[in-house]
Amino acid sequence: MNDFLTELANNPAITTALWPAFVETLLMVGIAGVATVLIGLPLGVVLFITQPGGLAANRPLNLVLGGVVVNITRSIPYAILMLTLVPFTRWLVGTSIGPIAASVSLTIACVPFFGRLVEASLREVHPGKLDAAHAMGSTRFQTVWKVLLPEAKPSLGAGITTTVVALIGYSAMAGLIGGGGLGRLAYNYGYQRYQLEVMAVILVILVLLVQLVQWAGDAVVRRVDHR
Amino acid sequence: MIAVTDLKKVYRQANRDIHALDGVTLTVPENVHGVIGQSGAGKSTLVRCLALLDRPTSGVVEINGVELTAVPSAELRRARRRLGVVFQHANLFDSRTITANVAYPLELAGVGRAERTAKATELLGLVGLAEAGDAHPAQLSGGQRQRVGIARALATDPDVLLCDEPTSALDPATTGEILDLISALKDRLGLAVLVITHEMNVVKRICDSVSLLEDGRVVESGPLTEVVGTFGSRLSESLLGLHPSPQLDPALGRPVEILDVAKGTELSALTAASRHFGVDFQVVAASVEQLGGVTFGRWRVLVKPPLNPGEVVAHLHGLGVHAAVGADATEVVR
Repeated sequence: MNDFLTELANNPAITTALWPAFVETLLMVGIAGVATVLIGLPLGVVLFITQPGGLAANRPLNLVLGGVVVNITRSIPYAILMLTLVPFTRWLVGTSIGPIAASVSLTIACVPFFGRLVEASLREVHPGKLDAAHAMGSTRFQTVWKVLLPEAKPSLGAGITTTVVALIGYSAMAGLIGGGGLGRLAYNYGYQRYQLEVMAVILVILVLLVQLVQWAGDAVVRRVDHR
Repeated sequence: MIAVTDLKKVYRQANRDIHALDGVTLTVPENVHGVIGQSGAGKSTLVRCLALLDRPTSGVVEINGVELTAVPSAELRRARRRLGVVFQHANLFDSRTITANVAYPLELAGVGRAERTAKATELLGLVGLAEAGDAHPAQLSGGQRQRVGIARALATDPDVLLCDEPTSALDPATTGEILDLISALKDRLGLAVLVITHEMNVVKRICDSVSLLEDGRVVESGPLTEVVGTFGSRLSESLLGLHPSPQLDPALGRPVEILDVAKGTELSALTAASRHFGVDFQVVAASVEQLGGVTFGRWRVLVKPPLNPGEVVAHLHGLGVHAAVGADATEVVR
Protein backbone atom coordinates (compact mmCIF):
# COMPACT_ATOMS: atom_id res chain seq x y z
CA MET A 1 0.00 0.00 0.00
CA ASN A 2 2.79 2.36 0.96
CA ASP A 3 4.57 1.52 -2.28
CA PHE A 4 1.42 2.34 -4.20
CA LEU A 5 1.15 5.79 -2.55
CA THR A 6 4.86 6.53 -3.01
CA GLU A 7 4.61 5.58 -6.64
CA LEU A 8 1.62 7.84 -7.05
CA ALA A 9 3.39 10.75 -5.35
CA ASN A 10 6.29 10.42 -7.74
CA ASN A 11 4.29 9.83 -10.91
CA PRO A 12 4.45 12.95 -13.11
CA ALA A 13 0.99 12.14 -14.47
CA ILE A 14 -0.29 12.89 -10.97
CA THR A 15 2.17 15.52 -9.75
CA THR A 16 2.30 17.77 -12.79
CA ALA A 17 -0.41 16.77 -15.29
CA LEU A 18 -3.40 16.12 -13.00
CA TRP A 19 -4.16 19.66 -11.87
CA PRO A 20 -4.04 21.27 -15.34
CA ALA A 21 -6.15 18.41 -16.71
CA PHE A 22 -8.69 18.91 -13.92
CA VAL A 23 -8.85 22.65 -14.67
CA GLU A 24 -9.34 21.89 -18.38
CA THR A 25 -12.21 19.56 -17.58
CA LEU A 26 -13.83 22.22 -15.38
CA LEU A 27 -13.31 24.77 -18.13
CA MET A 28 -14.93 22.55 -20.77
CA VAL A 29 -17.86 21.64 -18.55
CA GLY A 30 -18.21 25.24 -17.33
CA ILE A 31 -18.20 26.90 -20.76
CA ALA A 32 -20.35 24.23 -22.41
CA GLY A 33 -22.69 24.15 -19.40
CA VAL A 34 -23.34 27.89 -19.44
CA ALA A 35 -23.69 27.95 -23.24
CA THR A 36 -26.03 24.94 -23.17
CA VAL A 37 -28.34 26.61 -20.66
CA LEU A 38 -28.26 29.94 -22.51
CA ILE A 39 -29.19 28.32 -25.82
CA GLY A 40 -31.14 25.27 -24.64
CA LEU A 41 -33.52 27.11 -22.31
CA PRO A 42 -34.97 29.35 -25.03
CA LEU A 43 -34.99 26.33 -27.37
CA GLY A 44 -37.02 24.31 -24.86
CA VAL A 45 -39.42 27.22 -24.33
CA VAL A 46 -39.93 27.59 -28.09
CA LEU A 47 -40.46 23.83 -28.46
CA PHE A 48 -43.08 23.98 -25.70
CA ILE A 49 -45.00 27.06 -26.79
CA THR A 50 -45.06 26.24 -30.50
CA GLN A 51 -46.51 22.75 -30.03
CA PRO A 52 -50.08 22.30 -31.29
CA GLY A 53 -52.45 23.93 -28.81
CA GLY A 54 -49.54 25.75 -27.14
CA LEU A 55 -49.24 29.40 -26.15
CA ALA A 56 -47.91 30.32 -29.58
CA ALA A 57 -48.79 27.27 -31.63
CA ASN A 58 -46.70 27.15 -34.78
CA ARG A 59 -46.62 23.77 -36.41
CA PRO A 60 -43.91 24.40 -39.06
CA LEU A 61 -41.49 25.95 -36.57
CA ASN A 62 -42.16 23.19 -34.07
CA LEU A 63 -41.55 20.53 -36.71
CA VAL A 64 -38.33 22.12 -37.94
CA LEU A 65 -36.90 22.68 -34.48
CA GLY A 66 -38.15 19.55 -32.78
CA GLY A 67 -38.50 17.03 -35.54
CA VAL A 68 -35.50 18.02 -37.62
CA VAL A 69 -32.85 19.99 -35.71
CA VAL A 70 -33.19 18.41 -32.27
CA ASN A 71 -33.91 14.85 -33.30
CA ILE A 72 -31.17 14.71 -35.93
CA THR A 73 -28.53 16.18 -33.62
CA ARG A 74 -29.56 13.76 -30.91
CA SER A 75 -29.33 10.80 -33.26
CA ILE A 76 -25.63 11.41 -33.97
CA PRO A 77 -23.33 9.72 -31.43
CA TYR A 78 -21.17 12.31 -29.72
CA ALA A 79 -17.89 10.77 -30.87
CA ILE A 80 -18.96 11.21 -34.50
CA LEU A 81 -20.55 14.62 -33.94
CA MET A 82 -17.36 16.13 -32.51
CA LEU A 83 -15.29 14.90 -35.45
CA THR A 84 -17.85 16.21 -37.94
CA LEU A 85 -17.78 19.59 -36.23
CA VAL A 86 -14.01 20.09 -36.51
CA PRO A 87 -14.20 22.51 -39.50
CA PHE A 88 -17.00 24.48 -37.85
CA THR A 89 -15.07 24.67 -34.58
CA ARG A 90 -11.94 25.86 -36.38
CA TRP A 91 -13.98 28.55 -38.13
CA LEU A 92 -15.66 29.63 -34.90
CA VAL A 93 -12.78 29.71 -32.39
CA GLY A 94 -9.75 29.47 -34.70
CA THR A 95 -8.60 26.06 -33.47
CA SER A 96 -9.95 22.56 -33.07
CA ILE A 97 -7.68 21.69 -30.14
CA GLY A 98 -7.97 22.53 -26.46
CA PRO A 99 -10.81 22.89 -23.99
CA ILE A 100 -12.32 26.00 -25.63
CA ALA A 101 -12.61 24.16 -28.96
CA ALA A 102 -14.04 21.09 -27.24
CA SER A 103 -16.69 23.29 -25.63
CA VAL A 104 -18.14 24.02 -29.06
CA SER A 105 -18.99 20.42 -29.90
CA LEU A 106 -20.00 19.72 -26.30
CA THR A 107 -22.48 22.59 -26.43
CA ILE A 108 -23.92 21.52 -29.77
CA ALA A 109 -24.32 17.97 -28.51
CA CYS A 110 -25.96 19.01 -25.23
CA VAL A 111 -28.30 21.81 -26.37
CA PRO A 112 -30.91 19.50 -27.97
CA PHE A 113 -30.71 17.16 -24.99
CA PHE A 114 -31.24 19.99 -22.52
CA GLY A 115 -33.88 21.56 -24.77
CA ARG A 116 -35.95 18.38 -24.54
CA LEU A 117 -35.51 18.31 -20.76
CA VAL A 118 -36.73 21.93 -20.59
CA GLU A 119 -39.70 21.09 -22.79
CA ALA A 120 -40.59 18.16 -20.53
CA SER A 121 -40.26 20.36 -17.42
CA LEU A 122 -42.59 22.98 -18.86
CA ARG A 123 -45.09 20.31 -19.78
CA GLU A 124 -45.32 19.39 -16.10
CA VAL A 125 -46.64 22.85 -15.23
CA HIS A 126 -50.38 22.41 -14.71
CA PRO A 127 -52.24 23.93 -17.70
CA GLY A 128 -54.72 25.48 -15.25
CA LYS A 129 -51.95 27.83 -14.11
CA LEU A 130 -51.47 29.03 -17.67
CA ASP A 131 -55.24 29.48 -18.02
CA ALA A 132 -55.19 31.55 -14.83
CA ALA A 133 -52.30 33.67 -16.12
CA HIS A 134 -54.12 34.14 -19.41
CA ALA A 135 -57.46 34.96 -17.77
CA MET A 136 -55.80 37.63 -15.64
CA GLY A 137 -54.57 39.33 -18.79
CA SER A 138 -50.92 38.24 -19.03
CA THR A 139 -49.19 38.70 -22.35
CA ARG A 140 -47.53 35.59 -23.76
CA PHE A 141 -44.15 36.87 -22.66
CA GLN A 142 -45.44 37.52 -19.14
CA THR A 143 -46.98 34.07 -19.02
CA VAL A 144 -43.64 32.49 -19.92
CA TRP A 145 -41.46 34.73 -17.81
CA LYS A 146 -43.60 35.24 -14.72
CA VAL A 147 -45.50 31.95 -14.55
CA LEU A 148 -44.21 29.13 -16.76
CA LEU A 149 -40.49 29.36 -15.97
CA PRO A 150 -40.86 30.12 -12.21
CA GLU A 151 -43.35 27.28 -11.81
CA ALA A 152 -40.99 24.88 -13.59
CA LYS A 153 -37.92 26.03 -11.59
CA PRO A 154 -37.44 22.88 -9.46
CA SER A 155 -37.71 20.64 -12.50
CA LEU A 156 -35.48 22.92 -14.59
CA GLY A 157 -32.87 22.80 -11.81
CA ALA A 158 -32.93 19.01 -11.91
CA GLY A 159 -32.58 19.16 -15.71
CA ILE A 160 -29.52 21.41 -15.47
CA THR A 161 -27.94 19.01 -12.98
CA THR A 162 -28.56 16.05 -15.28
CA THR A 163 -27.12 17.98 -18.21
CA VAL A 164 -23.95 18.98 -16.34
CA VAL A 165 -23.41 15.37 -15.28
CA ALA A 166 -23.84 14.28 -18.91
CA LEU A 167 -21.38 17.00 -19.94
CA ILE A 168 -18.76 15.63 -17.57
CA GLY A 169 -19.13 12.29 -19.30
CA TYR A 170 -18.96 13.77 -22.79
CA SER A 171 -15.96 15.93 -21.82
CA ALA A 172 -13.88 12.78 -21.24
CA MET A 173 -14.64 11.74 -24.79
CA ALA A 174 -13.82 15.22 -26.08
CA GLY A 175 -10.45 14.85 -24.35
CA LEU A 176 -9.49 12.07 -26.72
CA ILE A 177 -9.51 14.21 -29.84
CA GLY A 178 -7.57 17.09 -28.40
CA GLY A 179 -9.92 18.63 -25.90
CA GLY A 180 -7.56 17.86 -23.06
CA GLY A 181 -8.78 17.37 -19.53
CA LEU A 182 -9.08 14.31 -17.36
CA GLY A 183 -10.29 12.17 -20.25
CA ARG A 184 -7.07 12.58 -22.17
CA LEU A 185 -4.98 12.03 -19.05
CA ALA A 186 -6.81 8.80 -18.32
CA TYR A 187 -6.40 7.68 -21.92
CA ASN A 188 -2.73 8.57 -22.29
CA TYR A 189 -1.47 7.34 -18.95
CA GLY A 190 -4.11 4.95 -17.70
CA TYR A 191 -4.77 3.19 -20.99
CA GLN A 192 -1.82 3.65 -23.34
CA ARG A 193 0.87 3.39 -20.62
CA TYR A 194 -1.23 0.97 -18.64
CA GLN A 195 -0.79 2.86 -15.36
CA LEU A 196 -3.82 1.57 -13.54
CA GLU A 197 -3.19 3.79 -10.50
CA VAL A 198 -3.58 6.91 -12.66
CA MET A 199 -6.84 5.54 -14.03
CA ALA A 200 -8.03 4.83 -10.49
CA VAL A 201 -7.23 8.34 -9.25
CA ILE A 202 -9.03 9.93 -12.20
CA LEU A 203 -12.05 7.70 -11.69
CA VAL A 204 -12.24 8.73 -8.04
CA ILE A 205 -11.99 12.40 -9.02
CA LEU A 206 -14.76 12.03 -11.62
CA VAL A 207 -17.01 10.17 -9.22
CA LEU A 208 -16.48 12.88 -6.59
CA LEU A 209 -17.09 15.62 -9.15
CA VAL A 210 -20.37 14.07 -10.27
CA GLN A 211 -21.45 13.58 -6.65
CA LEU A 212 -20.64 17.20 -5.90
CA VAL A 213 -22.61 18.47 -8.90
CA GLN A 214 -25.60 16.27 -8.04
CA TRP A 215 -25.52 17.31 -4.40
CA ALA A 216 -25.29 21.00 -5.26
CA GLY A 217 -28.05 20.65 -7.86
CA ASP A 218 -30.34 18.89 -5.41
CA ALA A 219 -29.67 21.55 -2.79
CA VAL A 220 -30.63 24.31 -5.21
CA VAL A 221 -33.79 22.44 -6.25
CA ARG A 222 -34.82 22.02 -2.61
CA ARG A 223 -34.44 25.75 -2.07
CA VAL A 224 -36.60 26.77 -5.02
CA ASP A 225 -39.21 24.04 -4.60
CA HIS A 226 -42.29 25.32 -2.79
CA ARG A 227 -44.65 22.64 -4.01
CA MET B 1 -73.60 43.22 -14.85
CA ILE B 2 -72.78 40.58 -17.40
CA ALA B 3 -74.80 39.84 -20.50
CA VAL B 4 -74.26 36.96 -22.90
CA THR B 5 -76.10 36.95 -26.20
CA ASP B 6 -76.45 33.98 -28.51
CA LEU B 7 -73.04 32.58 -27.67
CA LYS B 8 -71.95 29.76 -29.93
CA LYS B 9 -68.85 27.63 -29.97
CA VAL B 10 -68.27 25.01 -32.60
CA TYR B 11 -65.34 22.62 -32.46
CA ARG B 12 -64.30 20.65 -35.46
CA GLN B 13 -63.37 17.14 -34.51
CA ALA B 14 -62.69 14.26 -36.89
CA ASN B 15 -64.55 16.04 -39.73
CA ARG B 16 -67.59 16.56 -37.55
CA ASP B 17 -68.82 19.85 -36.10
CA ILE B 18 -69.44 19.68 -32.39
CA HIS B 19 -71.74 22.41 -31.13
CA ALA B 20 -70.43 22.75 -27.58
CA LEU B 21 -72.44 25.96 -27.12
CA ASP B 22 -75.48 26.34 -29.27
CA GLY B 23 -76.78 29.86 -28.70
CA VAL B 24 -76.51 30.63 -24.99
CA THR B 25 -78.17 33.83 -23.77
CA LEU B 26 -77.86 34.96 -20.16
CA THR B 27 -78.19 38.19 -18.21
CA VAL B 28 -76.76 38.52 -14.73
CA PRO B 29 -77.53 41.73 -12.86
CA GLU B 30 -75.91 42.42 -9.50
CA ASN B 31 -76.78 39.13 -7.89
CA VAL B 32 -75.62 35.54 -7.94
CA HIS B 33 -76.61 33.58 -11.00
CA GLY B 34 -75.99 29.87 -11.22
CA VAL B 35 -75.48 27.89 -14.39
CA ILE B 36 -76.06 24.25 -13.64
CA GLY B 37 -75.52 21.35 -15.95
CA GLN B 38 -74.16 17.85 -16.07
CA SER B 39 -70.79 17.04 -17.52
CA GLY B 40 -70.89 17.36 -21.26
CA ALA B 41 -73.57 20.06 -21.13
CA GLY B 42 -71.10 22.73 -22.21
CA LYS B 43 -70.22 24.24 -18.81
CA SER B 44 -66.47 24.18 -19.35
CA THR B 45 -66.79 25.64 -22.82
CA LEU B 46 -69.04 28.38 -21.44
CA VAL B 47 -66.46 29.24 -18.78
CA ARG B 48 -63.63 29.28 -21.30
CA CYS B 49 -65.61 31.54 -23.64
CA LEU B 50 -66.68 33.89 -20.84
CA ALA B 51 -63.16 34.09 -19.44
CA LEU B 52 -62.07 34.57 -23.06
CA LEU B 53 -59.61 31.73 -22.83
CA ASP B 54 -61.28 30.53 -26.03
CA ARG B 55 -62.79 32.74 -28.69
CA PRO B 56 -66.47 31.96 -29.18
CA THR B 57 -67.47 31.10 -32.75
CA SER B 58 -70.15 33.77 -32.60
CA GLY B 59 -72.15 35.73 -30.07
CA VAL B 60 -71.49 38.58 -27.68
CA VAL B 61 -70.18 38.80 -24.10
CA GLU B 62 -70.74 42.18 -22.48
CA ILE B 63 -69.65 43.41 -19.09
CA ASN B 64 -71.26 46.67 -17.99
CA GLY B 65 -71.95 47.51 -21.61
CA VAL B 66 -68.40 46.85 -22.83
CA GLU B 67 -68.32 44.17 -25.46
CA LEU B 68 -65.47 41.83 -24.57
CA THR B 69 -65.74 39.80 -27.74
CA ALA B 70 -65.18 42.90 -29.87
CA VAL B 71 -62.07 44.46 -28.36
CA PRO B 72 -58.70 43.69 -29.90
CA SER B 73 -56.10 41.75 -27.91
CA ALA B 74 -54.24 44.52 -26.06
CA GLU B 75 -57.47 46.16 -24.97
CA LEU B 76 -58.87 42.75 -24.21
CA ARG B 77 -56.20 42.29 -21.57
CA ARG B 78 -57.33 45.52 -19.94
CA ALA B 79 -60.99 44.59 -20.31
CA ARG B 80 -60.31 41.28 -18.57
CA ARG B 81 -59.70 43.19 -15.38
CA ARG B 82 -63.43 43.78 -15.18
CA LEU B 83 -63.84 40.04 -14.84
CA GLY B 84 -62.34 38.03 -11.97
CA VAL B 85 -62.15 34.27 -12.48
CA VAL B 86 -62.20 31.73 -9.64
CA PHE B 87 -61.10 28.27 -10.77
CA GLN B 88 -62.09 24.86 -9.48
CA HIS B 89 -58.57 24.07 -8.32
CA ALA B 90 -57.66 27.69 -7.47
CA ASN B 91 -54.71 27.45 -9.91
CA LEU B 92 -52.36 29.40 -7.65
CA PHE B 93 -48.70 29.79 -8.57
CA ASP B 94 -46.67 27.52 -6.28
CA SER B 95 -43.48 29.50 -6.80
CA ARG B 96 -45.00 32.68 -5.34
CA THR B 97 -45.98 33.56 -1.80
CA ILE B 98 -49.67 34.05 -1.07
CA THR B 99 -49.26 37.83 -1.17
CA ALA B 100 -47.41 37.65 -4.49
CA ASN B 101 -50.15 35.41 -5.88
CA VAL B 102 -52.87 37.92 -4.98
CA ALA B 103 -50.71 40.76 -6.27
CA TYR B 104 -50.09 39.09 -9.64
CA PRO B 105 -52.95 40.79 -11.55
CA LEU B 106 -51.81 44.14 -10.14
CA GLU B 107 -48.25 43.40 -11.28
CA LEU B 108 -49.63 42.96 -14.80
CA ALA B 109 -51.53 46.23 -14.46
CA GLY B 110 -48.25 47.99 -13.64
CA VAL B 111 -49.10 48.89 -10.04
CA GLY B 112 -46.06 49.70 -7.87
CA ARG B 113 -44.74 47.15 -5.39
CA ALA B 114 -45.75 48.91 -2.18
CA GLU B 115 -49.26 49.55 -3.43
CA ARG B 116 -49.58 45.97 -4.68
CA THR B 117 -48.59 44.53 -1.33
CA ALA B 118 -50.98 46.86 0.51
CA LYS B 119 -53.88 45.87 -1.73
CA ALA B 120 -53.04 42.16 -1.51
CA THR B 121 -52.87 42.35 2.28
CA GLU B 122 -56.24 44.11 2.39
CA LEU B 123 -57.82 41.46 0.15
CA LEU B 124 -56.34 38.63 2.21
CA GLY B 125 -57.96 40.24 5.25
CA LEU B 126 -61.25 40.32 3.38
CA VAL B 127 -61.14 36.55 2.75
CA GLY B 128 -59.99 35.79 6.28
CA LEU B 129 -56.35 34.95 5.58
CA ALA B 130 -54.60 38.06 6.88
CA GLU B 131 -51.87 35.97 8.53
CA ALA B 132 -51.00 33.75 5.58
CA GLY B 133 -49.34 36.33 3.30
CA ASP B 134 -45.80 34.96 3.54
CA ALA B 135 -46.74 31.30 3.17
CA HIS B 136 -46.66 29.38 -0.11
CA PRO B 137 -49.79 27.76 -1.59
CA ALA B 138 -48.60 24.23 -0.74
CA GLN B 139 -48.75 25.12 2.96
CA LEU B 140 -52.47 25.92 2.82
CA SER B 141 -55.52 23.66 2.86
CA GLY B 142 -57.78 23.35 -0.18
CA GLY B 143 -60.33 25.74 1.27
CA GLN B 144 -57.66 28.29 2.14
CA ARG B 145 -56.21 28.05 -1.36
CA GLN B 146 -59.64 28.74 -2.79
CA ARG B 147 -59.91 31.82 -0.54
CA VAL B 148 -56.62 33.02 -1.98
CA GLY B 149 -58.00 32.32 -5.46
CA ILE B 150 -61.00 34.51 -4.65
CA ALA B 151 -58.79 37.29 -3.27
CA ARG B 152 -56.68 37.16 -6.44
CA ALA B 153 -59.80 37.32 -8.63
CA LEU B 154 -60.83 40.48 -6.76
CA ALA B 155 -57.45 42.20 -7.04
CA THR B 156 -58.36 44.36 -10.02
CA ASP B 157 -61.73 45.44 -8.52
CA PRO B 158 -63.75 43.54 -11.13
CA ASP B 159 -67.45 44.10 -11.80
CA VAL B 160 -68.09 40.42 -12.35
CA LEU B 161 -66.84 37.35 -10.55
CA LEU B 162 -66.91 34.20 -12.66
CA CYS B 163 -66.69 31.07 -10.50
CA ASP B 164 -65.98 27.79 -12.28
CA GLU B 165 -67.00 24.89 -10.03
CA PRO B 166 -65.55 26.83 -7.08
CA THR B 167 -66.33 24.15 -4.49
CA SER B 168 -66.27 20.92 -6.45
CA ALA B 169 -62.86 19.99 -5.08
CA LEU B 170 -63.77 20.78 -1.46
CA ASP B 171 -65.37 18.87 1.40
CA PRO B 172 -68.94 19.79 2.45
CA ALA B 173 -68.00 21.98 5.43
CA THR B 174 -65.42 23.95 3.43
CA THR B 175 -67.88 24.21 0.55
CA GLY B 176 -70.30 25.98 2.87
CA GLU B 177 -67.61 28.40 4.06
CA ILE B 178 -66.52 29.28 0.52
CA LEU B 179 -70.10 29.79 -0.67
CA ASP B 180 -70.84 32.02 2.33
CA LEU B 181 -67.71 34.01 1.55
CA ILE B 182 -68.74 34.51 -2.09
CA SER B 183 -72.19 35.63 -0.91
CA ALA B 184 -70.75 38.07 1.61
CA LEU B 185 -68.31 39.52 -0.92
CA LYS B 186 -71.11 40.03 -3.43
CA ASP B 187 -73.09 42.07 -0.90
CA ARG B 188 -70.05 44.01 0.23
CA LEU B 189 -68.57 44.81 -3.18
CA GLY B 190 -71.74 44.93 -5.28
CA LEU B 191 -70.51 42.24 -7.65
CA ALA B 192 -72.40 40.28 -10.24
CA VAL B 193 -71.46 36.67 -9.62
CA LEU B 194 -71.79 33.88 -12.15
CA VAL B 195 -71.35 30.42 -10.66
CA ILE B 196 -70.93 27.46 -13.00
CA THR B 197 -71.59 24.19 -11.21
CA HIS B 198 -73.00 20.70 -11.40
CA GLU B 199 -74.13 20.74 -7.77
CA MET B 200 -77.71 21.65 -6.95
CA ASN B 201 -76.56 22.39 -3.39
CA VAL B 202 -74.45 25.29 -4.59
CA VAL B 203 -77.41 26.76 -6.47
CA LYS B 204 -79.68 26.28 -3.48
CA ARG B 205 -77.26 27.92 -1.11
CA ILE B 206 -76.21 31.10 -2.89
CA CYS B 207 -77.98 31.66 -6.18
CA ASP B 208 -80.72 34.22 -6.72
CA SER B 209 -81.34 33.00 -10.23
CA VAL B 210 -80.39 29.96 -12.21
CA SER B 211 -80.09 28.57 -15.73
CA LEU B 212 -80.09 24.93 -16.66
CA LEU B 213 -77.59 24.15 -19.40
CA GLU B 214 -78.11 21.08 -21.51
CA ASP B 215 -76.45 20.11 -24.78
CA GLY B 216 -75.07 23.62 -25.17
CA ARG B 217 -78.45 25.30 -24.69
CA VAL B 218 -80.15 27.03 -21.78
CA VAL B 219 -83.30 24.97 -21.35
CA GLU B 220 -84.67 26.62 -18.19
CA SER B 221 -83.83 29.97 -16.71
CA GLY B 222 -85.17 32.47 -14.21
CA PRO B 223 -85.22 33.58 -10.58
CA LEU B 224 -84.60 30.56 -8.38
CA THR B 225 -87.96 30.67 -6.54
CA GLU B 226 -89.80 31.02 -9.84
CA VAL B 227 -88.03 28.16 -11.56
CA VAL B 228 -88.33 25.85 -8.57
CA GLY B 229 -92.01 26.86 -8.20
CA THR B 230 -92.75 25.76 -11.75
CA PHE B 231 -94.48 22.42 -11.42
CA GLY B 232 -92.75 19.76 -13.41
CA SER B 233 -89.75 21.90 -14.45
CA ARG B 234 -86.44 20.07 -14.53
CA LEU B 235 -84.85 22.32 -11.92
CA SER B 236 -87.84 21.97 -9.63
CA GLU B 237 -87.66 18.21 -9.99
CA SER B 238 -83.93 18.07 -9.41
CA LEU B 239 -84.23 20.11 -6.22
CA LEU B 240 -87.48 18.71 -4.85
CA GLY B 241 -87.81 15.60 -6.95
CA LEU B 242 -89.24 12.51 -5.32
CA HIS B 243 -87.88 9.06 -5.84
CA PRO B 244 -90.18 6.71 -7.70
CA SER B 245 -92.40 4.93 -5.21
CA PRO B 246 -92.19 1.20 -4.81
CA GLN B 247 -94.83 -0.83 -6.51
CA LEU B 248 -98.20 -0.18 -4.94
CA ASP B 249 -101.41 -2.09 -5.22
CA PRO B 250 -103.73 -0.02 -7.47
CA ALA B 251 -106.58 -1.06 -5.20
CA LEU B 252 -105.01 1.10 -2.46
CA GLY B 253 -105.47 4.26 -4.50
CA ARG B 254 -103.95 6.42 -7.16
CA PRO B 255 -101.02 8.75 -6.62
CA VAL B 256 -101.45 12.52 -6.85
CA GLU B 257 -98.39 14.72 -7.28
CA ILE B 258 -98.55 18.08 -5.48
CA LEU B 259 -96.30 21.16 -5.44
CA ASP B 260 -97.29 23.63 -2.74
CA VAL B 261 -95.48 26.98 -2.72
CA ALA B 262 -95.94 29.18 0.32
CA LYS B 263 -94.57 32.55 1.38
CA GLY B 264 -93.31 32.03 4.87
CA THR B 265 -93.52 28.51 6.22
CA GLU B 266 -97.18 27.54 6.02
CA LEU B 267 -97.75 24.66 3.70
CA SER B 268 -101.47 24.19 4.37
CA ALA B 269 -102.87 22.86 1.12
CA LEU B 270 -102.63 19.17 1.96
CA THR B 271 -104.28 19.47 5.35
CA ALA B 272 -106.91 21.79 3.90
CA ALA B 273 -107.75 19.24 1.21
CA SER B 274 -107.81 16.48 3.78
CA ARG B 275 -110.32 18.42 5.90
CA HIS B 276 -112.39 19.30 2.86
CA PHE B 277 -112.80 15.71 1.73
CA GLY B 278 -112.88 14.30 5.24
CA VAL B 279 -110.26 11.65 4.48
CA ASP B 280 -106.63 10.98 5.40
CA PHE B 281 -104.25 11.07 2.48
CA GLN B 282 -101.49 8.54 2.65
CA VAL B 283 -98.22 10.38 1.98
CA VAL B 284 -95.88 8.05 0.09
CA ALA B 285 -93.11 10.55 -0.65
CA ALA B 286 -92.40 14.15 0.32
CA SER B 287 -89.73 16.82 0.30
CA VAL B 288 -89.65 20.35 1.68
CA GLU B 289 -87.13 23.08 0.87
CA GLN B 290 -86.88 26.73 1.85
CA LEU B 291 -85.35 29.15 -0.63
CA GLY B 292 -85.26 32.92 -0.28
CA GLY B 293 -88.09 33.07 2.27
CA VAL B 294 -90.33 30.80 0.24
CA THR B 295 -91.20 27.27 1.26
CA PHE B 296 -91.66 24.59 -1.35
CA GLY B 297 -93.45 21.38 -0.50
CA ARG B 298 -93.56 18.48 -2.87
CA TRP B 299 -95.84 15.58 -1.98
CA ARG B 300 -96.96 12.33 -3.48
CA VAL B 301 -100.13 11.11 -1.78
CA LEU B 302 -102.45 8.21 -2.42
CA VAL B 303 -106.12 8.97 -3.03
CA LYS B 304 -108.15 5.92 -2.07
CA PRO B 305 -111.32 4.87 -3.80
CA PRO B 306 -114.12 5.80 -3.83
CA LEU B 307 -112.67 9.35 -3.82
CA ASN B 308 -111.80 10.42 -7.37
CA PRO B 309 -108.20 11.71 -7.68
CA GLY B 310 -109.35 14.15 -10.37
CA GLU B 311 -111.63 15.80 -7.84
CA VAL B 312 -108.74 16.21 -5.39
CA VAL B 313 -106.58 17.76 -8.10
CA ALA B 314 -109.38 20.16 -9.08
CA HIS B 315 -109.84 21.18 -5.46
CA LEU B 316 -106.09 21.79 -5.03
CA HIS B 317 -106.04 23.88 -8.21
CA GLY B 318 -108.85 25.90 -6.65
CA LEU B 319 -106.55 26.55 -3.67
CA GLY B 320 -103.87 27.78 -6.09
CA VAL B 321 -101.72 24.69 -5.65
CA HIS B 322 -100.04 22.75 -8.44
CA ALA B 323 -101.27 19.19 -8.62
CA ALA B 324 -101.67 16.38 -11.10
CA VAL B 325 -102.79 12.82 -11.04
CA GLY B 326 -99.62 10.78 -11.04
CA ALA B 327 -98.72 7.86 -13.13
CA ASP B 328 -100.39 4.60 -12.23
CA ALA B 329 -98.68 3.07 -9.28
CA THR B 330 -97.45 0.19 -11.37
CA GLU B 331 -95.89 2.58 -13.85
CA VAL B 332 -94.20 4.60 -11.15
CA VAL B 333 -91.64 1.87 -10.73
CA ARG B 334 -89.09 2.45 -13.46
